[in-house]
Amino acid sequence: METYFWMAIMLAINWGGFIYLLVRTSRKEVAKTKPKP
Amino acid sequence: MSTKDQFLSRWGFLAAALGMAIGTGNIWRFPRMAAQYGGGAFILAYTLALFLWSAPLLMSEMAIGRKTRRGPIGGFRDFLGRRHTWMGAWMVMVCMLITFYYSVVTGYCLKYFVLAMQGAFKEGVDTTALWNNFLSTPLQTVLFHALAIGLCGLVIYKGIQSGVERVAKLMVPALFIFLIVAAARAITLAGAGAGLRYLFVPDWSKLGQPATWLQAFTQSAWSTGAGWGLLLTYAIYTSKREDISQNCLLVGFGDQSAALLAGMAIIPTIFALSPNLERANSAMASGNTGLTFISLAQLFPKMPGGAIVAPIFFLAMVFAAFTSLIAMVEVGVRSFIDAGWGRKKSTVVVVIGCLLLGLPSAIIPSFLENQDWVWGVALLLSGFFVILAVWKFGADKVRTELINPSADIKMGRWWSFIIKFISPVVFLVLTGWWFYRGIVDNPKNWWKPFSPFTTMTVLFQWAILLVVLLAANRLLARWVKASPPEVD
Repeated sequence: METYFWMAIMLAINWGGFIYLLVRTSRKEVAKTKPKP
Repeated sequence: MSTKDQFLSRWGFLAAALGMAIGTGNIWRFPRMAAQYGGGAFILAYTLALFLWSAPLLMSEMAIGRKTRRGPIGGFRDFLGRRHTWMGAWMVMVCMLITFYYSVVTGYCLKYFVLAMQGAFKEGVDTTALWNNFLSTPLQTVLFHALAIGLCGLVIYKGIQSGVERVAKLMVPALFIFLIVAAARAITLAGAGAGLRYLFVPDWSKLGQPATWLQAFTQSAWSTGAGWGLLLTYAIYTSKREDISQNCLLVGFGDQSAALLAGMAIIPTIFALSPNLERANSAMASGNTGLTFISLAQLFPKMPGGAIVAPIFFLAMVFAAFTSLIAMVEVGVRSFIDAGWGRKKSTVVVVIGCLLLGLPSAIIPSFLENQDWVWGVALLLSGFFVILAVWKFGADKVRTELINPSADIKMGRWWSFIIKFISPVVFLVLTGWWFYRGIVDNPKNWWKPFSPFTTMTVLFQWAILLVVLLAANRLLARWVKASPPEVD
């Protein structure tokens, strides 16, 4: 149990940060391609 | 600069930058370091290193490259002044000296991918003998070195959009998929829990040991490519509206995520399939190439589905090494382009140079190890030169004029504080500690310049390069053409 707890923490920090930034970048890029009213 | 010499999209740049950062070190060094220096405690120290050393340096490099539109030699000349051109040349030379042997290492990965495809890793095969036979057959090591640098040259010859970007967009997502497949197989093996425990559960006592911090920071510096001049060079090919801070953080976190995946693929495999704990620990202590090309190669036949996982794993190694090699060779090519040469001619000259100057490492394995020992740590000095450049230009000016205007995530004053005060301390402590250990651990021989792993061989080879570059400073400053090309 202790192993999976720490595994979740470490993955949340690193993979969490990576996925958050990917999503943020993706949103920005999609917004760029939308035509402005 | 033609528009074809720019990344077509932000994703293309990010793929190339991630490919640059994720190299063999993520796969064969990070898992060993994490396991040896306290598991989760090491991972936390490693994450801290991203914020105190690697990310600020990557952002500074990208700012210099995007502002000056030059590789490191011209970049330092235009950013710091002509008197400091030699610092950029140091960065390029250190990067190239690493490239000469990194191409040989990429060749090793190619060879093992071919072996895995041929089904060479069978139960009972002596993988130590297989590895030693390969290393002691120069025809083989030279052939695969030539193949690696030749393929890399082809990609760079085609230019940024058609070569570098296209290959990165293919290889980097594939690399992540391969690592996920290998990790999924490893953590579902019976007995994998012991390896996961070794990797993730923190041994807090290790944080009290300076070696843990030294290894975490150096691993982060080497792994993210901070201070290599690689991101500085790729930044030349980005739009002036490209977001520096978010891209660099994404590269840093992506690099760490790949390293964790590699750890999850390797350590549970070692622990689940080794006959006993002693053998597992001995595999973890067997060094980069020993772990990958001997221990893992020996364990794949014992793994259910190992015949499929082995080629996938070694192809991941090839992609990781190859995309980093492309970025390294591009640093050399860019230096010639800055001097007014065409891309094609520059590529041919640099590739032939890498092929010839990599031969000693391909033929004599101990020469490769010596070069890795000497120039790996020189990257810290390259990083320090970037810090000096930011200091001289003004850390707040870099932050407010170069990073923040196009940034989605704005850097606060803390960024200037880190690059002005924390990063230099990190550099002094890391290099000071490295040299101190080099002397204390080898008190009888540390002063011998011609021994392969001494402190003096490092100082001796650094001194030769420094003297040559300082003497050639004026020439170098004149060598780079006067006006940079305009980009959108």
